[in-house]
Amino acid sequence: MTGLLSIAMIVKDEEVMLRACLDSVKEIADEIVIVDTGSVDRTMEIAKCCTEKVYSYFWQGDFSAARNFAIEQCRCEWVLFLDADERLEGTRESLRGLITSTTKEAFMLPLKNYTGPGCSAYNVIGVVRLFRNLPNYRYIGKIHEQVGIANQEVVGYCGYLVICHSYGESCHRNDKRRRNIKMLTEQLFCEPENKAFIKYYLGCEWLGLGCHQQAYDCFQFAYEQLDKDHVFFRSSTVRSLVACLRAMGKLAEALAVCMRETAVYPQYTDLYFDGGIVLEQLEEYEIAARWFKVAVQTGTPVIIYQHSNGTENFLSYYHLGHCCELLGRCEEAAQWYERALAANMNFIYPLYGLYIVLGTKNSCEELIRYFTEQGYAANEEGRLVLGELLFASGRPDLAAGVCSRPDKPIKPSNELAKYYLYSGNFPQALAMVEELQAGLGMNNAVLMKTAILCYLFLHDLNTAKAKCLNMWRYEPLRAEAVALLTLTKRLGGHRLTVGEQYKPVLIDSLLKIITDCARSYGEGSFIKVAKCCEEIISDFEQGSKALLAYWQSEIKGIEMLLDLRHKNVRGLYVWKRAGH
Amino acid sequence: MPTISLCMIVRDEEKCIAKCLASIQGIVDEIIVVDTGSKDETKKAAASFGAKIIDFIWTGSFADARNASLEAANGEWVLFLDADEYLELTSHEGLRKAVAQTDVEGYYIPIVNIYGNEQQPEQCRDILFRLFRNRSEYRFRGIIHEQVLNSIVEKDPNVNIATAHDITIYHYGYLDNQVKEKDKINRNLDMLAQQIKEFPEDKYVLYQYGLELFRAEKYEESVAMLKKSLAGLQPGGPEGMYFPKLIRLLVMAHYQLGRHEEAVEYVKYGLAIYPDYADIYHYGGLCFSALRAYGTSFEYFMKATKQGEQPYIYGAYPSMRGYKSYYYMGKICEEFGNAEEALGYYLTGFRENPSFYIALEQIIRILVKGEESEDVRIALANMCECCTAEAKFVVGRMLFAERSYQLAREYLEAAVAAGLNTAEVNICLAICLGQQDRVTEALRLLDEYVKDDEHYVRALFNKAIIFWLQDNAFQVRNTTDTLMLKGLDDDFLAIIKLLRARPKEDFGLVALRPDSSEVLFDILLRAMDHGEFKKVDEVLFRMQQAWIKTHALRLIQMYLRYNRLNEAERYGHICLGSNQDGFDALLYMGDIKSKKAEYWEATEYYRAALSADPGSPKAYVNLLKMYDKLCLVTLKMAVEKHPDVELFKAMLEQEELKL
Repeated sequence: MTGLLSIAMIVKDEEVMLRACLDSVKEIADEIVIVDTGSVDRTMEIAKCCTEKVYSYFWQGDFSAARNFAIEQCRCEWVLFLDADERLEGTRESLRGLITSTTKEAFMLPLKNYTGPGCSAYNVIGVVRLFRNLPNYRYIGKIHEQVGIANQEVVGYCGYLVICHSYGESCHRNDKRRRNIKMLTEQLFCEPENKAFIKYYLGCEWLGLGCHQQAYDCFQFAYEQLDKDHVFFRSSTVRSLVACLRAMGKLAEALAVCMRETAVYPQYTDLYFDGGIVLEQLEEYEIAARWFKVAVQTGTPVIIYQHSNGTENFLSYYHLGHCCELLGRCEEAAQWYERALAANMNFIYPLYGLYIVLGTKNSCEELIRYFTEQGYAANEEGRLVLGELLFASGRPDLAAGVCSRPDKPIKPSNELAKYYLYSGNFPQALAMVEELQAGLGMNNAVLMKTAILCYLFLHDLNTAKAKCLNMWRYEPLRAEAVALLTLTKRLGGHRLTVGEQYKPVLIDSLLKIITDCARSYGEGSFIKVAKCCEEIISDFEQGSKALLAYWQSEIKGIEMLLDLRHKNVRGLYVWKRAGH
Repeated sequence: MPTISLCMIVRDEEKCIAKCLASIQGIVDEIIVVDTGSKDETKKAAASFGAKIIDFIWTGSFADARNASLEAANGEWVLFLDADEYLELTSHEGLRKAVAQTDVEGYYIPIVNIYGNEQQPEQCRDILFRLFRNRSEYRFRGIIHEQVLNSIVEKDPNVNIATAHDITIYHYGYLDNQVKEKDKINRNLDMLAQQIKEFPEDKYVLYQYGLELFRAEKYEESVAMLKKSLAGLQPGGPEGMYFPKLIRLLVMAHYQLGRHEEAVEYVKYGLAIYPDYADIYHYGGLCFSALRAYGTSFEYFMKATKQGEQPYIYGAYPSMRGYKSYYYMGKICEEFGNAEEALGYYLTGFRENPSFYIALEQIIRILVKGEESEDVRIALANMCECCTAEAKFVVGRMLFAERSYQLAREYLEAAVAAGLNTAEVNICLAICLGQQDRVTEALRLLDEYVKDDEHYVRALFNKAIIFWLQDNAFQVRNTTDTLMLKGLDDDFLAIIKLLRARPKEDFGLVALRPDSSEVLFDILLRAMDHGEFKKVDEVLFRMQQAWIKTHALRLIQMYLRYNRLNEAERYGHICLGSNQDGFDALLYMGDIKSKKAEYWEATEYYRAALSADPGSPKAYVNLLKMYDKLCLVTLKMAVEKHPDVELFKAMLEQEELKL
C-alpha cells in the first residue's frame, strides 16, 4: 500500500460534470482511479488531465463488478467512491485526520441530493462511501450497489465530509431514470429475494419521471413487504408513498399514512412536515400549523432517515406563515415568514408572503424601506422578487428603482425593461431593449414585444408596424407578431382579419398586455391600448370568455387581499357578481 | 323580626331625601340621619319622617361621618342608603328575609344606577355592601370610598357574607338633571390623594383614585394608579367585587390614550377571566376598529350583543351589548361602502333606543343619499313615530342638516303645528321655504325674527341669501346695507361683499378663515340645491387660489353631490396637484370617473388610492365595484357581438334580474 487515500470513480459520458468533481478532490487524494465504462464523449480526455490511472472497462450491466474492478486498481489504505456528478466538501486535513486516527473500518457520509435549483432544496441521506482497502470489502448488487460490510459496528459516521450531488440537466436526469428502470426491472428477476428494495428504487425512478400511478404501485408493494427494522427504506417508502398519494389527489389517504407512521417513527421530522403539507392542501390550516410546529420541535432527524433540508426550520416556518396568512392572522404570519428568512436567506418564497401580509397596512415605499433594512433586498434574487411584487402592486416605477439601485452601470434585464415600459419611461425602456438585444440576439420575442409596446404607448404606429413586420419574418414568432400587428392596426382604426391558427396566441398575448397595463403607473396611453386590446379580444367568443375570466380573477385577487384582515365581514364585500 | 336601623349621611339634599325615606317606611325601625351642615330644608324633611337628626361637623372624612351614624344606631342590623337612592317597594320582603338569616353577617345588595336623560333613562347594574349586623367592632375606614367590610373580615376571616338577590336599591344621582358640578370631581381627587398618602398600597383606594382620575380625563395618571391596583390582584375573593370594573377601566383608559394595542392586551386578559363580559367585547371592538382590523372589530361587537344579562359585579352598561354596539357595526359596514347593511344596524340600534339620535342621523343621511323623496318619506314614517313636536323637530332638523329641504319643511311645519314655535324651528323652516321658492312665506317668517335682538343678524342674513338666490340684486343690497350697520367681522363682511358683487365688479380675491368658510359653503350648497351653478362659479371665481387649494376637497365633494362631474374633476386635479388629502382626493376622482362610466380610468384612481392607504377597505371595495362594472360591460359587448352564444345571454339575464 502506498498513500492514504484513493478516490475511485466509474464514469460514462460525463464530460460536463467530471471536471468539477475532480477539482473538488484534487488536493485531498493521493491517487485518483477512474474507470470508464464506454464513454463516447471527451470524458477520458478530461480524466487523463487529472490522473494517469484511467482505465477502459467493458460494461457488463453490473455496477458492482465495475466498482470492484476500480478498487482492484487502488493502491492506498483507504478508498472513497464518488460519482462524476458529485463533489466532495471537506478539507484535506479533516479527512486525513479522520482516517488516520480511527479504529473504524468504514464511514457513512451525508449525501446532499439537490432536488431543485438554488442551494436550499436538497435531501440528505447517509451513504457508506469511505472504507479501508481490504479484500473483504467489495460491492454487492448489480444496481444500487452497496459495500458489503457485515458488522455494522465498524461503520462510523462523519458529518463534516459532505458529498454534494448536483441537480443536473433535466434531460440527462430523465434519461438516467429510464435507463435505471430498465436495469431494475431486469434485476427483479435475478434477485427476487430483494424484491421489496428493488421496488423501492423503481418507485423512486418512476416518481422522478412524474409517473405517479406506477410509482405508487411500487411503493405500496415495498410498504407492505418492508420490515420496520429497515428504518431507512421503510421510512423513505412512507414519505414517497405520501408524495404519490398527494400527487394523485388522494389527500385523505395521504393523511392517514402520515398519522399512522408518525406513531411508528416519532423522531422523523419530515413525516410531520409532509402531514402538515397534506393538511394545508385540505385547507385545515389550524391543524396543519400544529403539525409544522411539531416538525420544528423535533429538529433535524438522525442520518438514518432521508431528510429534506429545511423541514426542521425554514420550510416549516414558511408554511406556518402561509397557514396563518390564510387564517387571517397577519401579524403572526409576518413573524413566521421572517423566521423562515432568518433561518435561510436564500429561500426567497417567504418574501412573497411577507410582502402581501405587510402590504395590507404599509405603503409600497414603507415596504421597500423595511425590506432593505432587514437585508431582504441585499442579493439579486431578493431584489428580483421585490421588483416583481412592486410591479404586481401597480408601482413599476418603484420596481425599476429597486432593480437598478446598487449597480453602476445599471445591469440590463428583461424585468427592468418592462418596469421602465410600464412606468412610462419609454426612452430608458428602448435603450435597455437595445442593450439586451446586443447580448441575447435580435430574435428574442420578449424584447421585440417590449419595443413594439413602447412605440404603441408613444402612439408611433408607423415604427410599431415596421417592428411588427420585422418580427413576422421569424417563423416561431409569427403568431405573436400577428397579435401585435392587429393591435397596431386597430389603434390606427383599421381592422385586420386574423387566421384561425393565430387566434389563441392573439387572445393570450393581448390579455397579457391588458393585465400589465392594469399595473401601469404614470404618463402613457396605457388605458387606450388596453381598451383596444379589449375590443379586439371581444371579437372572438373565446376571447370574450377569457376577458370575463380575467375580470373574475382580478376580483378574486382583491377579495383575497381583503380576506387577509377582514375575513369575518366577508359578507360585506363579497356578493354575487356578473360573469360568474 | 330583628330590628333594622337606616343610617344616612346627608348635606343639602332637600329634593331627594323624601323619596328615600318614603321608600323605607314600615320596614325599618329607626332612621338615623347625620347631617354634615345642610343650609336647606333637609333636616326638616327628614324629621317629618321621624328621623333622628345628628349634627356633625365635617372632619374631611366620610368614614367619620358614617361611624357617627353607627354609634347612634340601636337596631340589630344596619342599612345604609344615600339621599339620592331609594329602596324598591317589592324589596321589603327581601329585606325581612335577609335579616332573619342567623348565619349571615352582612349582605351585598344589587343596585341599579339610572343615568342618561329623563325621557329615555338607562340602567347600569352594580352591587354594593350596604346591610350588616350592628356590632361595635364594625366601623368604617377611609376618608373617601369608605369601607366597613375590612373591619368585619378582621374580626372573623371566615365570616359569611352573602348577596341579597331580592333586594334592589335604585340610585338616580347620575341622571342628567341630577349631576353635580365638576367641583365634586376635584374634591374627590383631593380626598383620594390624601387617602393614598395614608394607604399607598390599598388596592381598592388605588382603583377608586384611578376611576376618579379617569372621570377628570387625566388618563395617564389614571393608568398608573390602575396598574398599581391590578398588580398582584386575584379575581376571586373580596377583590373580585371590583376586579371586572378595574379591567374594564384599564381598557377604557388605554383606549382614551390611543394606546390601542395595550388596550387589546387587557381586553384579552379580561375576557379570559370573564368570557361573558359584554362591555369588554364592546371596547375590544372599538380598539380593533381604531387599529383598522375591521373583521375582528365586527366580531367583538357581535359577541357583545350576544351576551346575556350581566352579573352585577360587572357594573355593565346595557348599551354596550345593545344599541351602541349595533351603531359601531353599522359604521364598519359603511367602511366597506355597504350602506344597506349599515342601515339595518343603525335601525336596530335606534329601535332599541329612540333617544339615540346619533343613529337617527346616520339613518337619515343614508336615506337622503338614496335620493327618491317619496321613498324617504315613507321609510322615515315607518321608522320613527314622531308623536311629539320635539320629535318632529329633531327629525326635521336632521333632514335640514342633510339639505333635504322639501322633507325637512314638512317635518318642521308639523313641529310648528304641534306647538313648537321657537326661533330655531322657524328660521330653519324659512330657509326651507326659500329653497322651494315660497319666497313670500319665507320672508314673512324671517321678518318676525328681525325684530328680535338675539336673532337679528341671522334672520337678516338669511333674507339676503334668499334674495340672492332669487337674483334680486336690489333687495340684496338693501338688506345687507342694514346688516352692515351692525359691527360685523371682516370675514362676514367679505361674504356679504360676495353676495352683493355686481358681474364686472372687481374688489380683489377673497380668503376666509375655516369657520367663515363653513358659512360660505352653506350658501354655495344652497345655491346648488337651487340649481344656481353659474352663481357658484361666479363666487368661486372671486376666491383666492390659496383658499381654493385648501378647500379643494370640500369643493369636489360639493360638486359631486350635485353631479357636476366636470367641475368636480377640475377641483380634483387641483387637489392632487397640491398633494394634499391624497387618499380622499383619489377616491373622489375614482368616483367621478365611475359616474362618467369611465371605468378603466376609475380603476387607475382607486388603485392609486389603495397604494396611498392600503389599510382602508374603501379603495379595495370601490375597485371591486369597478371590476364588476367592467365585467358587465364586457358581458353586454359579448352578447352584442356573439348573439348566438347562449352562455352570454344567460349570464346577462342573471345580472339584469339582480338589478
